[in-house]
Amino acid sequence: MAKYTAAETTEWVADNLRKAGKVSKVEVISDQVLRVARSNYDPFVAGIVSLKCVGEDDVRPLVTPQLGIEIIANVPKESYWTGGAIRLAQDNNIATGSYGDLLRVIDVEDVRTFQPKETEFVERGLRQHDRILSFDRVHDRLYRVSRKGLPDLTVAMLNEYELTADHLRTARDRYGQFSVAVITDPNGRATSSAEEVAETLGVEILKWAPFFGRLNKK
Amino acid sequence: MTEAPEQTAARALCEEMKRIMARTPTSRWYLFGSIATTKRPIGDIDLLVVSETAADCATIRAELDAICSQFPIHLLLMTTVEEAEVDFIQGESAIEISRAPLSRLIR
Repeated sequence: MAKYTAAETTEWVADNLRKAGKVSKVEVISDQVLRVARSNYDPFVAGIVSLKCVGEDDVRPLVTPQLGIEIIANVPKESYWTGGAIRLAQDNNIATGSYGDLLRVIDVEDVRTFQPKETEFVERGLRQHDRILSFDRVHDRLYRVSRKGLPDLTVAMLNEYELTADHLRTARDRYGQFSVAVITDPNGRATSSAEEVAETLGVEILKWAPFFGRLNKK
Repeated sequence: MTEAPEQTAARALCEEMKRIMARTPTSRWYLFGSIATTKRPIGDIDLLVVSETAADCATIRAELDAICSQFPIHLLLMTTVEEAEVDFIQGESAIEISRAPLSRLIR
């Protein structure tokens, strides 16, 4: 199929945003930059990328202060951000997120402080656990957790309502080795096939509360 | 009048579906979530594909790679066994698109 250019993708995003409530105007500033005027708050500037994997080199051109970008959104849902790309954006006081997050930040006064709810939930939980010394966001959904008196754990946080065998295989392809897959959706569950695949991959699938217990064990 | 963004995405998706179904004829394709309703603008395009085997799931994911790299498609791939286990289609009121004309998909 024909591959969209960066400019076409940005125009597609702009067309969608123009339909959103509380958006009064959307200007395409350049191939990867939009300015969104809102009826409730000041305008914000968004950087648009459309990649399967967002790395530091993709983010670097967008963190230039002159552009004034407050959030960088990656359009494809089937994608991931490297930890380096997220840190580069954070170091420049720029939020990161998905296309859906662009619709969410319409209602956020200070767009630069935006974090997806799921990330907030996961990181707050990790910060509050007594056993955890520190954690490192290796990639968007992959965390390396250092624990007091116990070996490190590499954990994939998968926000799926129905965790399937395909989800687990895809996570392994994207992120490489991890020993625990946590279903962060409070109503989420894994299919029997996902459990079987987990066994072959040497991965434990846990819901959020059991994962907290697991952090106290070797 | 130019095509609405969700129509552009749906048209591209339908073209890909037809191409891929030639390789996986028993697969069944569904939309669910915001694109299957009148809610606009769309958030993600929630797509469920149910196929007979895990190998078919892998084929479909690989074949959808190009379109999934361009649009915010949330791809859910299940085998028929997995779908029967969780009863996802009924639970989410998913709309089958593998046998419907495009005009019926996007309201």
